[in-house]
Amino acid sequence: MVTVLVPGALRTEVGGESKLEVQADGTLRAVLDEVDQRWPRLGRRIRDERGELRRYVNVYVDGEDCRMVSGQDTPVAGSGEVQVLPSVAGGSVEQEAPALDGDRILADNFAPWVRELGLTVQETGPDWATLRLPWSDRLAREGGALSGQALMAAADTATVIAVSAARGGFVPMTTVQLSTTFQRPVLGSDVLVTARLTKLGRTMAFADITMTAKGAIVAHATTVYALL
Amino acid sequence: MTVLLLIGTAKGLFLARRDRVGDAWQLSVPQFPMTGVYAVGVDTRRATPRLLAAVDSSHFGPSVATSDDLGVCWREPDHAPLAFPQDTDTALGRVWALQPGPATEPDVVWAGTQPSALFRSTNGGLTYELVRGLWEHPHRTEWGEGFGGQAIHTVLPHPTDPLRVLVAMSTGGVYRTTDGGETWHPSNSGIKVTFMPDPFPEFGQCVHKVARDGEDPERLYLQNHHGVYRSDDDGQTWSSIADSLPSDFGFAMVAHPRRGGTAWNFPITADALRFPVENRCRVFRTTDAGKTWTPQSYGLPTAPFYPSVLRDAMCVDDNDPVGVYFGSRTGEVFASADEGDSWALVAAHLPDVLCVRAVRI
Repeated sequence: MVTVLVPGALRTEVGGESKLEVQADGTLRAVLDEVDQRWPRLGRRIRDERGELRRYVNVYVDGEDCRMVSGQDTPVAGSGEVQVLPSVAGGSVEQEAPALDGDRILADNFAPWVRELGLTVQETGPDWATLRLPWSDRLAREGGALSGQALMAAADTATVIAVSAARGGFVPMTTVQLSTTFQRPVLGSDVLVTARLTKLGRTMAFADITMTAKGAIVAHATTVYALL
Repeated sequence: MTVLLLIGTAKGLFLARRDRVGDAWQLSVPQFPMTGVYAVGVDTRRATPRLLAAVDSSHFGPSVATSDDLGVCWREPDHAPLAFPQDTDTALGRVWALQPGPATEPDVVWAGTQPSALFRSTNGGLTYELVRGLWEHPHRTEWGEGFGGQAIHTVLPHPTDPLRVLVAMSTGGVYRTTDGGETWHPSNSGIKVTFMPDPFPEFGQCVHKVARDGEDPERLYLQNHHGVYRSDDDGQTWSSIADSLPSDFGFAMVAHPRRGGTAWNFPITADALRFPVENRCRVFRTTDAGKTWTPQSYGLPTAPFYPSVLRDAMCVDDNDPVGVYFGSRTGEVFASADEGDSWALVAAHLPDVLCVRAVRI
């Protein structure tokens, strides 16, 4: 079984997996052919439609850059490891930050009723995080619109993920202030919640949270956190 | 009247939205961050417009994504939505144009690519197939490369005759089909080149943009690599309309969606001096099909202005009066809700603006 290591930037193409197991071995080409077949969304980002490795994708076989060995003819043993990495020369992609497992933080650190909101972490950056609050009829108030309490909980939670992203992992913290303005009703659609830190100090964090549905801002919040 | 403005930049797609003229624009976070968005399209032939975006990762290659909920969720098929067939031994470099077809062909979407090729979708832009008739044209090996690469950047389907399509490429010039894409003919009669010994070759022109008149579909406006032209016979012949412009160089050209004879342009000083003319931020409008052009700058920056406006970084909506929009290579986006008479800033400090498209929702 050959192991294929997937870079952070491509994990969304394979359901979040960082490692894939493939049956094929012999050459790198055979391994990548199986990747194409089983995970085409990943495969087409590693090789173009002619089957050539994309210029700014590097593939290492047991730690050796395949371009320094025999390209896609580089031998791969049955227990080999193939690592795919974006090259530093790509120009416009930031260097990969250590991946933050936001969903793991959600699962491990929040009360059951918050987890039941079904929040998922869409993306994190050096000082921000975007969460998705999926629509649920259970979160609607009379009149059918999403209740403000759910949005406030989502904004609060998004701040925790943004601070965790900035700190490189979860740190204990507590909300000191949360102020929300509701600008539009949300009817039947998911809400994207983006928390951006405006200041991160040693003991305090300040964040600005924008909540959008169908591209329009539905609510805006500011939070202050004490870092414990 | 809510307007959604798609802003494709060198580092992602931004969506700006405004509910009423006079309201502030609300700008989204970047979608597809750190990818170049060289083309966006809006398919208004559906109940909810479908948004199309050509996204180009410098590491992981090009792709086309679509959204049926105005940009909240985007999807891409598992297999490459647009790829060259194996026998061409060619790899897609970039998608430069995404153009929905006429109303009579509600699921047709055209795509222009680098290297210069035309693709056609028959499922609303989800997946595309190479148009062989143009790819196999004997001229193809002689098509050259502009500064931005070799690409078909303009696709203009005829609004009422689905057999007629016009494309423009840099370099190569204008090609037309009148049989739905089977055969193609160069159509550059009257368009001058400044970079070859023969000033009027059959093909090889570096056309920057072509726009179709909103009232008379046989009438077209063309910004060339030096030279601004009009055709009154669906692109068969071209004549200059540059006389009253301060420069005949530039990239952008858009036409009023309904009123004949009206178009906008953003003149650049020259090929060798790519700053706005007199370093002033000015749009020029004609209302007489190019005989005269009038500057429009009320509300635009008055300080010296150096960035260019790229070929797809100007657009109109279909409001009445028409909204006009443009973005600069220094990440400013401006909008006019009164056909260019006055302007206001939509957003600043974005990455380089590569393309804009507006839709009323």
